[in-house]
Amino acid sequence: MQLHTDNRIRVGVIYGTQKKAAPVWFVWKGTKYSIQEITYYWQDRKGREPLHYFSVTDGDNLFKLCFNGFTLNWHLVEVHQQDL
Amino acid sequence: MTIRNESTLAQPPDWGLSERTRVIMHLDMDAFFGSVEQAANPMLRGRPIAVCGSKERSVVSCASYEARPYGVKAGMPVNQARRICPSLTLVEADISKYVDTSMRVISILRGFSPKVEVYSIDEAFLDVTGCLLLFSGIENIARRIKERIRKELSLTCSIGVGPNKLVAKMASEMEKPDGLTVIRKDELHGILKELPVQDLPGVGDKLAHHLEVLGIRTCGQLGTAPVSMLTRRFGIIGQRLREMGQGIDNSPVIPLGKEPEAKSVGHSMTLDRDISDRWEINRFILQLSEMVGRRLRKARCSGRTVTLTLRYSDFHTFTKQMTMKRYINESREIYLNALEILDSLVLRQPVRLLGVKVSGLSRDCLQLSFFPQDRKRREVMKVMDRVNDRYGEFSLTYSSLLDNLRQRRVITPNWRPEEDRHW
Repeated sequence: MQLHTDNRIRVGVIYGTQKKAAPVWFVWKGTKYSIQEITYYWQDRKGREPLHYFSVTDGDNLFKLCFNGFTLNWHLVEVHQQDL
Repeated sequence: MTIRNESTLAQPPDWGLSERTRVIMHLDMDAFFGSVEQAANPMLRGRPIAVCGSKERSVVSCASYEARPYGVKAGMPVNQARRICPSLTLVEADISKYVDTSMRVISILRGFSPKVEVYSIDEAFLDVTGCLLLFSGIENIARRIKERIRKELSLTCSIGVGPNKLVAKMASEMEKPDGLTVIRKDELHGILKELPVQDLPGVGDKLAHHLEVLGIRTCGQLGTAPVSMLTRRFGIIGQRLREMGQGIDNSPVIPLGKEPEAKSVGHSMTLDRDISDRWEINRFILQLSEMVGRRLRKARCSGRTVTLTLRYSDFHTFTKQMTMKRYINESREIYLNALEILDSLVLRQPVRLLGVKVSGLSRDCLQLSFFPQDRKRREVMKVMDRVNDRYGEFSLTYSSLLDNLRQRRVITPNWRPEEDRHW
C-alpha cells in the first residue's frame, strides 16, 4: 500500500566528510524508525528551493523523505508498506 | 562483433581506415524508469513492473525486464498491460527521480569525453575518438562507464560502439541488457548484409512495409537499391535511406549547449477521464498554455503558430494550427488562440488527450502595445513569473485552474538538462 503525506518530521542525520548527509532515524506519529538502508537519493527544485529526496527503508517499509535545503525542514512524503 | 577479450582491451582498436575515422559510443540505459524504481524500492526488485503516468489511464512508459516476457511494452495502455500480466505492479512515474539520475549519468559520461550528446533522457552519444589513448582503448572506456553507473546509481546500461552514430546505436541494441557491442568498420558490410531493415534506427514498421513492397527486406538490399527508385518512392529521404543501408552516417555528435535552437515548445496531457464539457476542456487548455508560455518566456522566445492537438476516446488524434501576424508568448494569448482553433472544430467524441504547441519561434521578438491594459497585463504576467520562479510552478496562477490543477511533469522526447538547454 502506498500513502502520500506531507508531514514535518524529526530526523537524525549523520554528516559525512564528503558533502554527504545520511538520515539515520526519524520520528513519525510518535514512533521512531531506524533507517536500515538509503535505497536511492535524488534532487529536485521547487522554485528556488533545493529539495533532497531519500528513499529509505527500516527493513519492513519504504519511506520517501524530503529535505528542503531552503527551509531546512524534513518532510515525510510517501510511505510504501510491505503488503504491496 | 562482441568483444570481451581482456587481452584486447588495452589496445586502441584498429578502426582501420583513415585518420578521419571516428569512434562513436552510444549508451542506452536498460529499462531506465523501471530500473530506477527498482533501485529505489527493494520491494519491486525481481518483479514485473510498469512505469506509467497514472495507474488508471495513460500508457506504459517503461516495462521492467521481468514484465517484457509477458508482452508488456512501452506505449501499451495500462489496462491492456494489466490484462496480459496480472502480476504486474504499476508504478506512477516520478519524473524528478529520472531527471536527476539522467543528469548524474551525463556527468559520469562527461568525465570520459567532452563531446557528449544527450539524445534523450536515457540515451547519449559520445565521440571518444580523441580519448582512446587516454583511457587505454574503447572497451576500457565502456567498461569504466558501466562500472561507475553500476556503482554510483545501481543501474545497468548497454553500450554500442561504431564508426558513426547510426552504427553505434544499432550496436547498443544488439546485446541488452548490460551489453557491450563493438562494430568495426571492416565488419560493417557483413553485419548489414542480412540485418532486417527494421533494425535500423528510425525505420519503423510502416517504412519497413513500404520497403518490403519494393522487395527490400535487409540493410544489404537497401544499401544496393537504386537511389532513383528510393527517391521516387520516398522523396528526399531516398538517398539517406540508401546510405543507412550502407551504414553511412556523417552526422556529428553535438555536445550539450551546442544544440540548434528549438523550433517549437509544446505540452500535452492525457486526462484522468474522457471529457466533453467545454468548460473543463478550456481549463486544461489554459493550464497547457501556461506551461508553454512559461517555457517560452524563460527562454525569451515567442512564436507565431499555435497548434492544438486533440485525441478522442477511440485514440483518433488530430492537430490543427493557426498562424498569427505577430509573435506571442503570453499564456493568455496562447490560450485564446488555442480556443479559437477549438471553436472551429466540432467535437465528435469525448476527449482523452489535449496538447498545445507554439512554433515559428523567434528570440527577443515581441510587439510592444499602445494600449495601457495590454501593458498592465504584461506587468502582471511578469510578477506572476517572478513569484513562480521563486516558489515553484503554479504557485501563483489563474483561479480557474485551482479546481483541477494537475501539474504532471512529463518527459518529452527532446528532453535536455534544463541548465544546459540552448534555445
